[in-house]
Amino acid sequence: MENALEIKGLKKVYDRFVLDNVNITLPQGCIMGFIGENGAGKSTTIKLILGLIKKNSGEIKILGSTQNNNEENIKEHIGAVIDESCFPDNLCVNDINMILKNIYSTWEEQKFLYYADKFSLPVKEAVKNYSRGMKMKLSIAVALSHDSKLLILDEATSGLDPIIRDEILDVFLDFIQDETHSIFMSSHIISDLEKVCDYITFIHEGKIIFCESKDELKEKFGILKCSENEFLNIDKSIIKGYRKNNFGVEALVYKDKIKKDYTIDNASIEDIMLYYIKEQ
Amino acid sequence: MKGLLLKDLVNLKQQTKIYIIIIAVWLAIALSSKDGSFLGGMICVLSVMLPITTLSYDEKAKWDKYVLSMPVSRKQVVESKYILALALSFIGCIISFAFNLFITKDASQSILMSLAFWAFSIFAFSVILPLIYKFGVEKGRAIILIVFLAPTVLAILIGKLNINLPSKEFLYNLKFVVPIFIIAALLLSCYISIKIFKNKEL
Repeated sequence: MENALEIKGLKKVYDRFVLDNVNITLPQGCIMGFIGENGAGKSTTIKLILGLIKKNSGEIKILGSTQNNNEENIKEHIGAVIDESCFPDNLCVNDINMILKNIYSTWEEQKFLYYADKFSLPVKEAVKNYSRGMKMKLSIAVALSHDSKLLILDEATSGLDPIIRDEILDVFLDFIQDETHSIFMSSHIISDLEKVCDYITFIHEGKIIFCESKDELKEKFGILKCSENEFLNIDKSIIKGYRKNNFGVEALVYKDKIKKDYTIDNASIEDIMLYYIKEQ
Repeated sequence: MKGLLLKDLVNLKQQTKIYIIIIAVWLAIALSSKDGSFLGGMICVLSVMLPITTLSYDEKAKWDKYVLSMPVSRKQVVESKYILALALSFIGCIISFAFNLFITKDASQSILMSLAFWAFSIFAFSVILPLIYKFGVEKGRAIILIVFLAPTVLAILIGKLNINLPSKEFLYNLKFVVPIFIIAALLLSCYISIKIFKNKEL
């Protein structure tokens, strides 16, 4: 089974920012969460995947193809949601349906109208009257309404209320039931990613810090809470990052290396991300 | 391609209602003055403005980024604008001819004037579109003004400097050169726009 997304040695150089040696592998049938602070390079990576900007070096393979030939054919099978990008103001759902029927050869009108209804999108209202959340929902509906095998989502759930976010995550989980479907999603809402993702990729200042299975990450790390004195006695190689507070010290530690008599809490993905950065 | 054109046409639907009213007003003015040339000129300007308005809507919605995630090539995105501009300017030419015929009852003069305005429309957007692709719509607006003012300025200069106008024979022969020139300008413009857009980082 080929990988849905394979990125090797990707590099992009800007004046004040360099995306360097990005390697990401997303196996088919999985959801990968893409996390990092603002400005870490998430949107840049996604733009490179979609061919919106040109890479300096490296290789990107989507659904097994390097996009040099048959570029349009691959895009039949990609559903993208890009932050802030949407349809021109005066179009409504019915117009968009008619237009996309003529762009995608695999456009599914019934599905699109179903999602428009499910997401409570007014069918005859112009896009300019949509709230930000509605525009996102519209893009998501579009992404799901043709033969997409890979969803590429850049902050697709930001700006949505928790209730609709939950509904959309359910829609994504439904999407992934088909083993040939995969999702690559960047988000700041790490709790969402924790709910649905199989893999987590963490990017920081243009470099990939880790690209691992979520379950393995959670098994690997734990949170240790102790006093400062106790902390000083611990072997530093066990500690990934730490934070001092009023009660003592909180540290991210390797679960298998820490001594058994300490109490270790489970680490959330957000904790892991925060402590990794604190270590830098 | 069809989808892209549909998108622009649907997007313009609202605008066209306003333009129909404006054209109706000008038609009334033209009828009363028995001169269709102002009307023809205005229709020419409109037919160039419409495709540029679609570019402005696209820019506002950051549409280009989005559409390129669809099975549509950069070449097709640019070509669709040129086809749109050609189609709208042709419709403008027909409308201008019809109105002129109605006003002046002079078929050959109407045809000549309409074709001349159509040629100028094509030349205008051939100059404007690559510049908009390069510099964006906002700066493009300044360029549009210059392109439309240029003939007027030129005419005034010729008048003031008492340059001898070319002879009638020369102008008659132009009839064959102009279409070739216009088509060449159009193709060159399309080629340049595609090249600019292909290299644009979105």
